[in-house]
Amino acid sequence: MDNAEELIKAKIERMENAAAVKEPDRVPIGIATSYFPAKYAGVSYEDMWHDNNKYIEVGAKFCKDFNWDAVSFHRSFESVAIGLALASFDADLAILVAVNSVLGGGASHDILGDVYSSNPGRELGVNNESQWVIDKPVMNDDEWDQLIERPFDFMMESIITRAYKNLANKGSTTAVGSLIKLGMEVGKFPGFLMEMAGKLKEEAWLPYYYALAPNPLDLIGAFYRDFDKLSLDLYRMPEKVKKACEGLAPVLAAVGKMTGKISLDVTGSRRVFCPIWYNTYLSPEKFKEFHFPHIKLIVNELIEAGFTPLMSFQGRSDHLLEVLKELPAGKVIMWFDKTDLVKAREVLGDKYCLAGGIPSSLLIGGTPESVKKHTEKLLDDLKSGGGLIVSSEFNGMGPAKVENVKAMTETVMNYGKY
Amino acid sequence: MNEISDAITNLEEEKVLKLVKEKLDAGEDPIKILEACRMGMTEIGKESGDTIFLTDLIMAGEIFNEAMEILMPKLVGSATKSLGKVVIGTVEGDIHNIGKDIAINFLRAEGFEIVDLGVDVPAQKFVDAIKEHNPPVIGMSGLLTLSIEPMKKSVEAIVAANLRDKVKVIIGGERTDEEVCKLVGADAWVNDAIEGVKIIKNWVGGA
Repeated sequence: MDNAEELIKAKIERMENAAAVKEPDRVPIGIATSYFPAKYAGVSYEDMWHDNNKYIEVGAKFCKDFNWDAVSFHRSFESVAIGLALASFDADLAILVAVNSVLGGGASHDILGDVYSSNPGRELGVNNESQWVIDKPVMNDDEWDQLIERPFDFMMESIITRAYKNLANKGSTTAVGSLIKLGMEVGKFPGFLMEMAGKLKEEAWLPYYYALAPNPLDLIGAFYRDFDKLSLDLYRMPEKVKKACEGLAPVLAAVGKMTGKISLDVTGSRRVFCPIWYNTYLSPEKFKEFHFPHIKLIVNELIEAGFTPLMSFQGRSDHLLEVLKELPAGKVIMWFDKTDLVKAREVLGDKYCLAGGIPSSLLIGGTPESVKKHTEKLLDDLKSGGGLIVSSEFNGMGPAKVENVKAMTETVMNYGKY
Repeated sequence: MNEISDAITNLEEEKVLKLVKEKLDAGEDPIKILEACRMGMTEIGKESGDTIFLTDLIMAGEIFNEAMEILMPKLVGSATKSLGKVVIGTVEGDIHNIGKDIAINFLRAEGFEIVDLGVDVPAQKFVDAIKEHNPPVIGMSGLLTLSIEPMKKSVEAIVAANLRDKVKVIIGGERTDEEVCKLVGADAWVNDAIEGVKIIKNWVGGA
């Protein structure tokens, strides 16, 4: 695009105004989707996942043809556990290792043999979406004290050797060889990131997020205990769960600030992705007791450092809206999956930027007319006063119909003007 | 016995297990103890999604299963009530099991016999299971949007095998809604496993 730089500048301003609950020139679109751009470009999920050139190619084509205000195409999270375990050794290295899978694709999964992911073209069919399921916990229920008392040593000695099959036998040829291979991947990674950002920015790309701050309870649930076992821990050993979370929260806030700085330098985006997964599982009481205090600490630290937390409330959060009122107004984006935005606005008031509103089921099963009608109603209901980003569920729209995605895009571009 | 039901409803794990053992040791009929455990689960199941949450349901299922482990050896050979069979599985391409397993725990507690097809279940396996077990209800679970297409294919396979009028189909999962239900050709959809149990009970006349 000839005027890519100007477009990016306008997109940054539009997204920042929406986040600050000021009226921009138009309601922005901000969505995370790994799969739809590949489907749209006619590239298999397997190729998009494992071939970095194709990954950049499908992203660039998508940016050029759809010109959304902000879009992210992350891949997976397999290397986050080993990255975090390195945090006390070398923080910069830790970040590079952790985000290697997020943007760098399936290589770290292939090298490390993690127990977390099943990926397209590997454990799954070529056009299946990657899935994250732990067969059995990588941290046992009698190991909470170790996570509390010596977190990084425990992660490296125990978690890592269980989470990554190829690192199971410390000092073995497979383990040493796999670490060298991972090192080589990580070595190539900064160059790849710059190439990716450069090529996508030529098509006026602004990421929805390019930085990441997980929270402790979700990290423990997704990477160490699995959510069903963690659910039992909340009843059986609540104090230990809380203590472990307290220990991890400042580390994860630092991760958010470090990746936030990279994002700002490379892409101009201040947003830091704060995924919140366990909210659907928890009663408001348990959310307040185990989850929210640490989320709040991380969010406040990010805001203080000049970043905008993009809080991705995955699943359903209707029951937690009252609690979320404690978050600082005009400083965070609350991105909802299933929660109805009109209800959220009613409860939260007009002080917060809300993102969401387009169910992926509509983009998959609807028609251009029904999508247009739905999008117009969303804009009618919520556009006034700013504080709206049109979005869809976190990475949910892979199988969407192209004509429906176009209908949504055109409706926002035209009907979303202030 | 109310003490056991109440302790289950209140998710008091240690108390439930202690009471079950005490009652058994005191010579109580294991079927009556089982009924008390089921009653506790039914009480939980009466609550709505606004008052009961997944961690509670997971904990309830765990306590119920632990109590069953103690009771099962004593129940061998006893006739317990059955509301009929439900075949349930996570559809092809999806390997998530939590929603399915919560539904199974509560269906079992209600007295349904469960045929658990596991995860990543191909359409044909649902068809084969209907032929083999003749259940009044089929449950299809799936967490992700990628599950929508396989749900549709599974229902289509059931139609193609001329079995659609023999079973009610319920789909469950985070991304299901009315739109998805229509697209898939299911009879009902739920985001919430407990709601699913209520619908199934209504269908088989157990409510």
